[in-house]
Amino acid sequence: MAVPTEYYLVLSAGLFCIGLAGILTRKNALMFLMSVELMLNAANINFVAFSLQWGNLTGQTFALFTMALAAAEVAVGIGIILVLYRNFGDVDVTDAAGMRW
Amino acid sequence: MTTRPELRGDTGGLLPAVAAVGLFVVMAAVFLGAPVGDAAGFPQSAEVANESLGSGDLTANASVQSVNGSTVAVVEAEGGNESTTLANDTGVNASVVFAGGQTYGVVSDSVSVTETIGYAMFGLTDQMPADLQSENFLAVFEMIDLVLVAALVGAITLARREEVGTVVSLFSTAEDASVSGAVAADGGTDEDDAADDSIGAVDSPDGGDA
Repeated sequence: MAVPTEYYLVLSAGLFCIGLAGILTRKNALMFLMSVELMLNAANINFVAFSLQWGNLTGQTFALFTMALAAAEVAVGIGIILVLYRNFGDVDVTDAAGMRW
Repeated sequence: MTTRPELRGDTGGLLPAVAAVGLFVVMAAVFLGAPVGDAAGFPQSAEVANESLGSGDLTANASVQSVNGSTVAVVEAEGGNESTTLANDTGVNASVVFAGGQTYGVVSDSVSVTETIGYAMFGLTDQMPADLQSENFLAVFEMIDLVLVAALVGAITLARREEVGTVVSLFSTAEDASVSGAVAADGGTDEDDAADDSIGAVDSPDGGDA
């Protein structure tokens, strides 16, 4: 007995909203990065769920590419966080408010 | 002194979090009310059917043939050939195997989700099983490959060892190496500070002035 697709969608919505709440309430750049990752994985759950829904593997393949993109994004994000720490001595995103310092 | 759990102090107000919870409620209501229907699902992967052809090792006398639109295993015996139907379809992956004192006709229907993902990524659409299809992702694969390689090469090309005093990078020249002072990536220390740093020759752990 397969799990109905609606449940996958609700799980994905929950994960997305947890990520959104993290981005809206936290100031730590690392927490930002983790929250963005949660939101990306919520999208992945939707891809895989609809792949099963239609019996077509396009969604699963696309989810793989999203994972590769997420890994690249985290690599860039951690680089930015390192520079943020070096210049401000902190990873608080509200510190870096100006275009130039 | 309090020992009870407390909310973290670095939250920027909890009102946005309540908005996120509200968004979840709306989304859940929409999804649970949507007419999604039953899932089509994937075909069962690696379904294997065994048919016993007889005791003893008959692999030398047995063969798999296609007869009247079905796949059968034919065992040649002295009293005439004996046919056993393996599948009501031709073109299936069937073979004759000897195992445990018996000879079996084995049909393995290898519809593999993982294999088909691989075929889709590399554009091998003709290899995909008929009941499990996907788009061709070869162009996307190549594009992402190019972008990631460009990012890696760019990072290595632009990288410098971020220590005050010497410049060490892929394309640094002897002139660059002799330049004293802080590197630009330390956040832009002033010229005076850089001079002080080079005289003192003591690196701060964070690589520059905060």
